[in-house]
Amino acid sequence: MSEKIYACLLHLLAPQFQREYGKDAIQLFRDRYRDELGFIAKLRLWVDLLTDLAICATRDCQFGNHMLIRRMPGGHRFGRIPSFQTVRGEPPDSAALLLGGLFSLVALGTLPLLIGHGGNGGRPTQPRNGQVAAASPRNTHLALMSALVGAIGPAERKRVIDSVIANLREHYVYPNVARKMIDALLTHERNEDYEKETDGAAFAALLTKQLQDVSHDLHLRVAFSAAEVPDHPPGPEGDARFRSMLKRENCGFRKVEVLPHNIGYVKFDGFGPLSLCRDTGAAAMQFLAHVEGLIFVSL
Amino acid sequence: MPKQKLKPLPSAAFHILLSLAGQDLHGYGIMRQVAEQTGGRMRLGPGTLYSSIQSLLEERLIEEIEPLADKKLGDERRRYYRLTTAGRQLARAEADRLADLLRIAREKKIFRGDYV
Repeated sequence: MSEKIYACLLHLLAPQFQREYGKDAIQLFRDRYRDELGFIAKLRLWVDLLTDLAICATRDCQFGNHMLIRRMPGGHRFGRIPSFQTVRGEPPDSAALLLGGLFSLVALGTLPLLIGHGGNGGRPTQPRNGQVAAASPRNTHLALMSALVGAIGPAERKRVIDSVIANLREHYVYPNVARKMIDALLTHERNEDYEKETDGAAFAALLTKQLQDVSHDLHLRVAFSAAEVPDHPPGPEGDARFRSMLKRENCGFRKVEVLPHNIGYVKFDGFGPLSLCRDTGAAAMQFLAHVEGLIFVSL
Repeated sequence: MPKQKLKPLPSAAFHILLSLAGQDLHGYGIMRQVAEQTGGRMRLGPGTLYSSIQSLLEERLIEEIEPLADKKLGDERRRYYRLTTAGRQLARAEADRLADLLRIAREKKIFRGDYV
């Protein structure tokens, strides 16, 4: 549980840092958590980590700001055959989430755009139909979106499965769990469990269930969208709306206070993009820099 | 210019260079070595540690080497780092600079008792 909390807190740092050193940071946390025994030592560990996050979120530890998205080769469109798009690693950015939410509302739930959870702030890839885009690695979330309505065939199923496996292998935060999920998918594929699955949404739901059965990670999903995903950024208006919403929501931070006995308390309901929520997160952590214990409460 | 990133050399980066002066270490090993050589006063968090490592790598003051077998730490793949010649020279120059500062401080008689 502690490790998961820390993994979530790492989203406060620059996406490039998460990509380059996310696993190492979690490994270091794991090492310290294992070696520093006792209540006081654990408290000190958390104080160290939060102080470090506060410092890094505000100054010295930022990495370059270049795009963290790269196109994966091999993606292509199968003419008018229904085609999945894959978003590798980095979840869609704020504007994409907003746009996806609007689509979902308009379609009254028929166009579910499933994502991991609120993004970590990097600019999104704007995947084209049939293309595979990659972004933040070591992310526990995975989203797959289909562009067209209709039945899917063996080639599309195969491409989706291969993409899921590639995502898991390259980006999933726990390599051993990723291996188990990959083994499970390959076993199902060998057993021809997908042969009768011609509906995109049902196929996505089946893959999601199989992945979660192994990983127990409810943030890991395969999603199907019946609507074609726009291949262009939402534009300044969408960005402005999302920024406004984040401000109203205070980037998900609901309460930050120091409880009796110098225990810090943070209630937050989401992870906003770093580019917009860095100051809020850093201020919250800075406020609690001197507490001797910390309680996080999240949705 | 990249050199600007480590001018002046931040304390964390200097301690990392010193920690690698005697042996090649992975991230956690560096953190422990720094804690030990500072009497526990400096415990580098992951953000500070790895961003410093990144800067030192970019400046070629340290280099990543092939992982070493470390049975104590299990099978996880860890990245090990080694001090380069340039890194050793910079650490020496920084130590000289601090020694000069110490000399000046002594001349100014700001120390008391045992420190003199």
